[in-house]
Amino acid sequence: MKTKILSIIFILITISSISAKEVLVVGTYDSFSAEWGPGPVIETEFEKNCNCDVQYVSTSQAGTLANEIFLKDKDVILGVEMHEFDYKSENWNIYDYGYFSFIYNEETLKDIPNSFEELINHKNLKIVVQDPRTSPVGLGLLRWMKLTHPDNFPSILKKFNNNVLTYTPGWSEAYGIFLEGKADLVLSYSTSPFYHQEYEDEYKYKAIEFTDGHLVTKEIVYVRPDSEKQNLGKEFIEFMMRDNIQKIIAQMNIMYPARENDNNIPDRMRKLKKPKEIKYDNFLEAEPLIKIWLEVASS
Amino acid sequence: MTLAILLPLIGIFSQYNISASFEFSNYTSSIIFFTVYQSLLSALLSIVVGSLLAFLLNTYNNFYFVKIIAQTQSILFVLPTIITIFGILSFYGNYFEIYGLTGILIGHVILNTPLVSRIIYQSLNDISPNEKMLSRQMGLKKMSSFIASEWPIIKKNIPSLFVLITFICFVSFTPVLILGGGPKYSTLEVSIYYSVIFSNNFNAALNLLFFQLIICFSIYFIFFKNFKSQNFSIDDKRHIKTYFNFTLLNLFGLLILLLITLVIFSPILFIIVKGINKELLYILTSTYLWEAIYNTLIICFFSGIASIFIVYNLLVLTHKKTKISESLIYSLIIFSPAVMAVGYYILLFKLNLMYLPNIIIVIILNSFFVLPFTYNYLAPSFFRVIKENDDIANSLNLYGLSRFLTIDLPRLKKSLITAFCVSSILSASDLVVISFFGTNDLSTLTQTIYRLMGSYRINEAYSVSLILLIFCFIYFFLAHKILEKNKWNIH
Repeated sequence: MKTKILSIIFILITISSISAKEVLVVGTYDSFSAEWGPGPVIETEFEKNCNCDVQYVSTSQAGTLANEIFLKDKDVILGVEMHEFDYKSENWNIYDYGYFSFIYNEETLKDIPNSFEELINHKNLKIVVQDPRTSPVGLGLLRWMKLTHPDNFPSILKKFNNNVLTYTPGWSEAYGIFLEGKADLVLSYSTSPFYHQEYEDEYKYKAIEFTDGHLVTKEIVYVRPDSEKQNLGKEFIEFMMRDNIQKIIAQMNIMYPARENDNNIPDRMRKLKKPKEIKYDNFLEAEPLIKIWLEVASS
Repeated sequence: MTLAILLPLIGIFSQYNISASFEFSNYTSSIIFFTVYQSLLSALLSIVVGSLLAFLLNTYNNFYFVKIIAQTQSILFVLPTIITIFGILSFYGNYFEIYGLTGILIGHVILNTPLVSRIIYQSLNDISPNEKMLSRQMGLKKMSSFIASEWPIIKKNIPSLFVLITFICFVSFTPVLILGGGPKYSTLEVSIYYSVIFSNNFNAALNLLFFQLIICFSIYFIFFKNFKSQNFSIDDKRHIKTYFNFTLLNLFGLLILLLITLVIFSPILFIIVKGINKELLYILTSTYLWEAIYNTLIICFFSGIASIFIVYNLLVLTHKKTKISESLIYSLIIFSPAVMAVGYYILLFKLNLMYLPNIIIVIILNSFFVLPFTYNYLAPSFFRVIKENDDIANSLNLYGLSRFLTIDLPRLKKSLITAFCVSSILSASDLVVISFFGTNDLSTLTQTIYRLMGSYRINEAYSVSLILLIFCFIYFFLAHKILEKNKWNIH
């Protein structure tokens, strides 16, 4: 029996290694590589010319894209947030970006806050956000708040915490709770309304614009320094920056294309108002922010 | 079996730095306290509600619909936790201050009651008709009859179930995060997950895990002092006809039964209401759905088989030393799922096994992860049957496989089928293994639900959840039909 199993495994391994094409293993998150995401189209288009085989290995565990353990056998990593990237690779690029923003339903929320101060003065406003320990979006909120309130960050955060219904493990749970009508506001991206307009013909969801400005988040694609396929990886990254691919990314990943121009931005996305961007010099470290958050939110 | 637990830890320990210091923040100690508190309380409540439900199901099981409830409650395990939680928020969010301890307790009771109730219900079926008849002839009142015949059986099940549910709630992740409402109500598991995945800090993770183990083993030894597995037994074959009288007490009992059922089935009602939407037809024509159904079926079936195989052999090897097998099985729960998955991941890398087809890795790991549940479903009847058959097997000189096929199998068949179905269903609901080891071509229904939610497609996610439910119903139904028809006439 054991030998049988071993031989089956052996045969399977041999079959998989027969194909002669060069394989490019791309580690990404699974809403990118899913059938309805931009991944499959990009794969098909790229394979037309490269004589290679693009294979996505996707994760649904947020954070694993920035964890060295899970990256070892991959050539290209697609979708790491700019704050979590170590910038050691020579070949990398930003492929899309967005602004952290709160989303609301204009049919149910009339009095719209336009800053963190106004938001925390709305005692009845129920907000759902992501846990900064398990979600880059949740961590983004802490950075955003720290940048707009460098001096009184803990006290603002403490008041904000009073309006928070719950901190969810990831973006999906938070957005789901919001769509279920259980919260007035959800932390997401300013481009989120585009999805509902484009795919559901639904215009009631809107992004709040804060007068203090919004934190920008950028997604990075890079070739792993220890990959043997540096050239192929580089080609793939350059390919992702082409106009037609940038448009697909914007259209399906619901983010602004990094090389934005009139040709590659979808119409309804162009019509969304872009919030003011916060300018800053250095990235804020995650650990100290989380520590403050833990103290404030668990007391 | 031991290897299943030890290997991933070797993987993790290879990243451990012994010299690292061991210090706890205030936050960690408050979390440890809360984790213990909520898990004990959740277990207590789940057992009270679960035993009551099992008792009522057993009392009224001459009603057809009660039988259906008793049989189908296992299906409740399969719904992705997040969908169950959405159901809870929709049903109870408007009536309670749901976020906080209340929410966590409601969530854990709804998630664990079916498990308690299913196992106790099986044991209660074992009360012999004679015993019931006797208590009736003796003119015992309801209460005295309950104390004489049902209560001893429920009582025997409590210690093991208490430990099981406590451990499950101890490592609870998504329910605690969402229903807890903030880091004040959290579990050690959340901190462990954060240390392993985000801050890549294995020392911190292992220190926390170490604490988790100490506490859980203390709980285990406190509650297991008087526990002997041989004591509880299942026999599905005996049935007793109880005659239903329309007394006030009976009506009240039925009412409570319906109420509890409504509460624990509420997530299913939620999915039926939400899942039938305009996306459903579109989804049924998509290729990803059918690929996911195919993968789920393969993973379910083979992990079900594999976990039955492992548990059965473990039981045969250790049935004289149940403490060993039990502590092994239970430690699979409390060795944090995040740590186990990462441990396996590192290990497969070190052994250069990542080139194995992923579906094989997923099947094997899933069969490990569901072992505690397979064990709980199979062990009670195994101990009983083995004990009863020992004499006859010895006198016939039957050992090993031939003994299993001729003597034990016919009597264990029902429990084997139930354990197989539940293990399969639990593998279908897995998200940890599949998200670490799945690839783009290998996604299951549960993972598809999360993927859809991750891309704004919540209505599609509801529809796929409904399809997952239907899938499990059919799977349960077919497994019982096919396997029970087979007479196993091997002589």
